[in-house]
Amino acid sequence: MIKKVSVFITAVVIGVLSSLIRLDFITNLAEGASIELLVMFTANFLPYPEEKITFELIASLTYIAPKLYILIAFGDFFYDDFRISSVYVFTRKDNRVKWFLDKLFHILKHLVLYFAIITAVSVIIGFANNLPVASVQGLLLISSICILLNVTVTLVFVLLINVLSLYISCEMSLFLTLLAYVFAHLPAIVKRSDPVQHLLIKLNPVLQPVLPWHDDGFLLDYIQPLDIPAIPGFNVYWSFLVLGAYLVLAVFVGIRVVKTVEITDRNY
Amino acid sequence: MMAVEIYHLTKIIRGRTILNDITLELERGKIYGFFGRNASGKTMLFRAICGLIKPTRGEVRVFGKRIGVDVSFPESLGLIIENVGFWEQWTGFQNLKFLASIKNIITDEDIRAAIRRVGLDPDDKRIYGKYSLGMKQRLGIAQAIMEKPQLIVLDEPTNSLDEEGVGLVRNILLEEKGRGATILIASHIKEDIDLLCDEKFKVEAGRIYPAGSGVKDE
Ligand SMILES: Nc1ncnc2c1ncn2[C@@H]1O[C@H](COP(=O)(O)OP(=O)(O)OP(=O)(O)O)[C@@H](O)[C@H]1O
Ligand SMILES: [Mg+2]
Repeated sequence: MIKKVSVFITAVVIGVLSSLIRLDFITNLAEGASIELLVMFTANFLPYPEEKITFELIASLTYIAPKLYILIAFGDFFYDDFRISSVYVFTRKDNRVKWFLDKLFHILKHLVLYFAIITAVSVIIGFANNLPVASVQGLLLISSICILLNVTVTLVFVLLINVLSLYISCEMSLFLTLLAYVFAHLPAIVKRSDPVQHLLIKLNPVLQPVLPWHDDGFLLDYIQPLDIPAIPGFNVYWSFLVLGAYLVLAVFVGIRVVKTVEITDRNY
Repeated sequence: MMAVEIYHLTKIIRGRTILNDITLELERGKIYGFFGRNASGKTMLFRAICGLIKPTRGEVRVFGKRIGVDVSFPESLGLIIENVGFWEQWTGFQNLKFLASIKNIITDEDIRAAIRRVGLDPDDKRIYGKYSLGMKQRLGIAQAIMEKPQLIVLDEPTNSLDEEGVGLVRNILLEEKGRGATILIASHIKEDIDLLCDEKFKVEAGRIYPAGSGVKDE
């Protein structure tokens, strides 16, 4: 109960901080500053690596930190049921798979709300600072895509942490998954030849939400003036396809594990 | 229909045979006792019956449903397994209320009645973390019986109870049996088994041996 509330308060705080930081960046762009851009740059932007090593602390923080936070917040969500009273809780459930799906939907709901709050906060901050809306339709589309991409990728990693925590200690599983999560951002930092770079980005789960790298038509009006190179063939459908595949895999593995995991009162 | 049917149940963990080709049929409405040395496999057998672990070979059926295939866990089960705890920061009532909310088949009054039955006070404001060992065990028993399950599995339910508590639990179990429940008890306390059980089994190195009926021949 407490956890939920604190997660949503944090979402507001993160939304305010990130959008204020990004507001500066957006308004310093010569032309075309809009609420859509603010939304996109608040939680869905990383600079494309132009130098051998490209690392912008602020951009990386606003991109990664909100997701790290929510991964940590939900990292012990399965394990909670295993740690205390596992035997009493489980034997009252109809079925192991249903337990898993209940948990999954519960997490999903929270993730959607979490990212929706962050996005809503940046829209409000945009309005409060008199940023224009270039197109209402564009704003709605970009906001929903930003939310959904972030939700899907975090859901995959939340599942990973939670499933792993049934085998190794919760802390270890959190640590390893977060490490993997952070390291997966390397193609956004280290420059390689374009084809390799593009492939690494297109297959990488954690970089799918970087909306300004996508080459969808509806993004061109926003992105082109900013001189950010779109990756050919990297569009929103592709991102949902890739993330969908990772998610299906994670759910499948999760169900298999939960179906067979032994519920013993070993001391974790 | 039998309450519990076990056929050729074997459990091997990391190369060690913990349960060794166990076959067992238990009727409804009786109390069965399992005794045997430490590490003989009593708890593991109970875990397999309750669907908490997966047999390496063989099958377990409870009320005709195959555990792990037809159902994940026995339907209508109340259990205590060794030292499983509750949430430390909640009172006894809050703990049971949370667990009852999963199935949602009993009322607050049923929970309170179950707590009273084991000699605890449902209005006790102390949190579980502050309970004595015996109180904790009593709450565990209340938890196992509160939903009036058809199968009650108790792993060492009385090992930290005082005399009064032991007597209380015996009476509760006889009442539950009267209601038609099937009860399985593992215990080191010989009187528990002898006084209560319709049939006894000795567990030794993962195997099971019938040990006659307690009540009748002693
Ligand atoms: N989680 C586990 N992983 C691996 N082996 C286990 C596990 N739990 C128990 N064992 C082993 O299984 C065997 C049977 O243990 P079990 O707990 O069933 O014994 P028991 O008869 O209940 O003993 P006790 O009287 O001490 O409660 C033991 O050798 C034990 O070491
Ligand atoms: Mg035992």
